[in-house]
Amino acid sequence: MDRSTTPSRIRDLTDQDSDDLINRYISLHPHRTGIANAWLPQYGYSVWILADALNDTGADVARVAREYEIPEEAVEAVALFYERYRKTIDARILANAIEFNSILDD
Amino acid sequence: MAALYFDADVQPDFAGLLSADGNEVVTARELLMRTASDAEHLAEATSRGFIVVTHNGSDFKTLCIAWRVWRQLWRLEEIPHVDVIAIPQRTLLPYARAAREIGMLLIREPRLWNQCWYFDLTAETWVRKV
Repeated sequence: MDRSTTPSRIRDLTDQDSDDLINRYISLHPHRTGIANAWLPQYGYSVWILADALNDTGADVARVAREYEIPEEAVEAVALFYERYRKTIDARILANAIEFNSILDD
Repeated sequence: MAALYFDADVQPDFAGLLSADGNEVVTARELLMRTASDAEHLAEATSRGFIVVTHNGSDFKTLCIAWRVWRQLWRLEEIPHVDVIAIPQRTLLPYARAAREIGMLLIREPRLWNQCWYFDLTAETWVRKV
């Protein structure tokens, strides 16, 4: 997700406000390693799953929030986290695709 | 019809698609298991006799192998685990299609234990991994 698809409401947050929003909803997973496997402990979702959902919906925060039954603010935190660690999260999404024998080179 | 257990990463609406086909569906969220480890999900689903549905095939495949290897190593009574059905993320296999494919798998393969199935995106069919 490039910055142009970052939801407008969070695009202009200060770094401190972004940090606060991320820290409110996202942390490292107790059983899995690293940023790539960060999750939302209040809801049980992995960040990469919701990042994939944002990619699938054109960064439609309201739709993702509705479909996963979580607050829009939590999805905004995911969008910020994804923007910050895009390569790492994308690598996790790609690793899962490869696990299912997706051909990525065509 | 089958009994299915959705791990914590699966979209809740997906449960509705499969329960509409007559399957019994529970989610980790409903069972207050949303913060459980994958090992705990597999144990809980096995205790209830529900097939696990997950996006996280890699970790569950490892658990399925370890389940049998460790029981043999420790000379424990052979207890089967429930099947695991692993599906790719929604950008690669939309939930509506995933529901149809799972439905076909459940018709094609009568209920068995100790198996782990993946939906192969290149072959566009189910492949047994364990």
